[in-house]
Amino acid sequence: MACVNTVLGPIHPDELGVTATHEHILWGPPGWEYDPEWWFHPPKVFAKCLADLVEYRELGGTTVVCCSGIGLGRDVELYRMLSRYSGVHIIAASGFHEGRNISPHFQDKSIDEMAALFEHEVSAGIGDSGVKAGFIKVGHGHYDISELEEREHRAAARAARRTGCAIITHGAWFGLQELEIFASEGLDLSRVVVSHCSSANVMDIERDKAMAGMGAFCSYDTFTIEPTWNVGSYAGDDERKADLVKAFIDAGHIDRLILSSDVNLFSLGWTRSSPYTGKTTMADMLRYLPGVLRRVGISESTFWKVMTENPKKVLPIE
Amino acid sequence: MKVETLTGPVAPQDLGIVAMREHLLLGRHGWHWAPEVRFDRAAAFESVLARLEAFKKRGGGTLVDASGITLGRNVPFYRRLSELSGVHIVASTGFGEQSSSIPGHFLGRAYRVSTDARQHWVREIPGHFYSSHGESKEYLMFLFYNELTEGMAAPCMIRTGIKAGIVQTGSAWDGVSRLEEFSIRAAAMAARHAGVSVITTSAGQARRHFELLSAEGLEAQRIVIGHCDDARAVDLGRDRSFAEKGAYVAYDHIGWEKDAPHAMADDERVALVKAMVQAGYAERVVLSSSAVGAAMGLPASSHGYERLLADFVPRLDRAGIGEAVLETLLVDTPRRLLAASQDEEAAEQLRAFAEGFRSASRQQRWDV
Amino acid sequence: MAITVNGPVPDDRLGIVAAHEHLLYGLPGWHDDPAVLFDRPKVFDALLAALREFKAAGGNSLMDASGTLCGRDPEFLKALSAAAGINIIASCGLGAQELIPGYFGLPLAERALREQRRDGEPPLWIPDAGYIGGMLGAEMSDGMPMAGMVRSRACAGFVLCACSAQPASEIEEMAIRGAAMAARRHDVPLRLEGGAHAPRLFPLITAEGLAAGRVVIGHCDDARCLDSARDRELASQGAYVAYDHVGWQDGSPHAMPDAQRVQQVKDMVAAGYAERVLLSCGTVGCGLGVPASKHGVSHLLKDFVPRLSGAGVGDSALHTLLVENPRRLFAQL
Repeated sequence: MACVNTVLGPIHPDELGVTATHEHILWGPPGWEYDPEWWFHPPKVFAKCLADLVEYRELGGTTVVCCSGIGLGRDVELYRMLSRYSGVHIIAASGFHEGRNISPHFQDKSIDEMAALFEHEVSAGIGDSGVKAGFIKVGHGHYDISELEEREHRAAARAARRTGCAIITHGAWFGLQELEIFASEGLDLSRVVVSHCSSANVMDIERDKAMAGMGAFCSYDTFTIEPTWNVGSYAGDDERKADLVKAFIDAGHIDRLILSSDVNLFSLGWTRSSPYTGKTTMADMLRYLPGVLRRVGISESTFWKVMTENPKKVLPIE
Repeated sequence: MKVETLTGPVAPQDLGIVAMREHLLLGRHGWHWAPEVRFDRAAAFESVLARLEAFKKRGGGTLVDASGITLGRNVPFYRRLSELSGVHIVASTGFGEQSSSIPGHFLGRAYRVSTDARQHWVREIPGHFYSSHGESKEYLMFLFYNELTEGMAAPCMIRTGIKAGIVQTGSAWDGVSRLEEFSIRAAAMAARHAGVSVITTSAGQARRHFELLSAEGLEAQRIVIGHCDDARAVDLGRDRSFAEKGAYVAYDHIGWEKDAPHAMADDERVALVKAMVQAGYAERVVLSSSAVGAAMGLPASSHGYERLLADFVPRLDRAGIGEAVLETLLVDTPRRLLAASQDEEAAEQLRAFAEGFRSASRQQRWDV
Repeated sequence: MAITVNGPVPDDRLGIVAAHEHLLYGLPGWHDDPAVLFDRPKVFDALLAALREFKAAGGNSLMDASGTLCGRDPEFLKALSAAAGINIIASCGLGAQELIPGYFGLPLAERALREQRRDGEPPLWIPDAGYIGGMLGAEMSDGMPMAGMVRSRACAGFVLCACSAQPASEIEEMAIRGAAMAARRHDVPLRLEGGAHAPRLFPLITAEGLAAGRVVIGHCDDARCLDSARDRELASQGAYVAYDHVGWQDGSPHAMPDAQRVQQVKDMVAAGYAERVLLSCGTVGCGLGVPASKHGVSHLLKDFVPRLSGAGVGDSALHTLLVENPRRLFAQL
């Protein structure tokens, strides 16, 4: 029987509703807590995140998937409170990110050791919290998939096969290679969401069509109102991204389409120093994206349908 | 002149016998997310306390914890252990080797410079935030300096009033990365301004470490080159040349006789000590055992802190090292190294610099 | 117009309505008991199946009578309603004395104690009917409250009240009058649980200005207090009489064989009150710390309706009972 792991417990897939599949509530590279320059007052940050989630809900959002994995800012106690007091379902991640953001303790772990960690977080819980992760996040750097990152990918594939959960990646620039790694581990690629297919400097509709042809989901998730701190890599005109989405739909892949906005409600550590961070939330996507897509001929009802139906295809765990 | 310990400042003459390099807790950043690492806090406390009490019983007075900022240090835990055992504990700030002790936050190089918009953004940020503060030795200097003068950071976002008393620094075995260089330079600058010493973590790049520390104006008397008894890099010539310059060498892995690539027989260590004493450098050597009280996800040591005194000191004695030299090795030299020197003028200059530094960075801050 | 959990639905589109059911039901406080396991996805699945079966049998709408306090989960109901294609009209209201949490009873108890002792501080706050009416009204206009101080987007569509003993306790009377005020202000139906005290409480309700045609006297098929004269009297005053525990044939003090209910219906129809009768099964789909009912919501259409037909209740009368009466309950008066 399929269910989705939220931070307040499992829900039925039909309870997902409008789902933002690639977002971050808190995000920051591990070790920020040692840097007092960037410490913050938790009640103020809680209040800010709560207000953002309430606004998202008021605009029709039901669920937020937080893609901050182990050590990347994930705070399940905070997420539980945010979910309870906002009424928004929050799904937490297992897995890591690019190799640089894998904490030293884990860098030497074997594939199977990492897989056991991910599997434990999805099926038994994160630490002692009792909160089960809903999926596994993986990542790689800009230049290649390092040996450590390949281990992480293989571990995620093994854990995903054993638990039935999905994998959400970080970055489409090596999407096809990532899918090859997953496939070589025997993973059904329809359990994979390849993120950031709309990154400004790596837009490639042919790659996306190929990935969709292999069964994977393509996430066009860097829609924002202003450029974010990821300026160099991610941002670019929303219009160009909308064209990409239209091309993807026209190529017949609407059922593999994921839309999201990859905001950080609060960035941890020096990453908060960008003048662009934190200016937008996932509520802004609901407010503005239908209009952006309508201008390229994608109807508003299609937008809401994609936001509701497609996450339901990939997130539930059998 | 005082020494900052977990239980407050201590007069240097009250330190007694000092083990210059040990670990109370040891774990690489991230261990707390690993379900296979079972940290039974109460059991760990008892086992570390037992090792400290054994050390004290053998005459030990003070122990320096070498875990730096990120290798498992737990300030309230250490303080309580110090209170109960009666052993003075000096904590360290600083980073060691990048791959095991520097987490992603400090490695961050945001993204490649690839568009005009990105370059524009970079220019707007004051220098010390250029792409990441890993590019800035001043940033790291303040990270360490604040722990020496205001207090160490503790989870979760607490600045304790308990100060570190020494700076750890180091690099990988076979090279010094860009970030490690900044970290070492920053360690030197922080130590210089705070009037404390620096101890390095490994001998593979010992000469380079010394160069970098000296280049930032840290005087040799404040530099301890650590782990000179690493089996892979034993070099008496090197040790004598450091001693000649006025720096110190540490034979600090006493008891690690097997099961590690750096291990070597304690009798060989005795030979090293003897050679340095005979060359007239008794005052330039410190001893310790890098024993681990409780390990989280890393190998523990079979020996405890008392091994230095219960086993190694008798060996030195049998090798003909007299009482007076032992007193120098275990009491006088560490006392000189750990006593902080006051330099009000330097501290004042630094305060002024810090103000400018901080007010620039605060402009980017949210009201959180 | 009926306010369902997914928005207003015109009364003439309600179709066959099960007028009194419980999808989730538990006594207040069930969630603090670790022995009560609410396997949310599994329960959703099971209720979805039950509702789809109801729909396949011809059902289209359902009134959930768990009130404010007894296990209602507004967002869960919204999702369930959408997935099953069944209108769900949720209820608000406090219910009988033993269900009302201490929050409301405590000030009254303190005041009583003070009067008895002639000393002590007056309570900081005392509830009254108007306060309760306002609370319930907000559930219908702004949305039903959930855990975590969040208001669901789903609004309640009718009001519940109950009385456990004669006379009604002070808080029960406040709750009943408050319910009546809210029902009048928002022009929604009100269900009074239990025929036993209905004759006495009905005037209290209508005194608040609520039309008789908005009042449902529930559980008139309670074996412990069957009274056909009472039923006819209430019907003659314009209220609805509900035989809404169809299928509860044994295992409870209030249970009785469905054959007797068939007779009750027949008697009301014969007395000319077909237009005043509502039918339902009072099922408990998922019991939270209480047992679920053995029968499901489809029992009404798959078992009881054939019995009624077999007993001579014609199709037109059945249509009145299952479709017209609920429609009128919600329609413009």
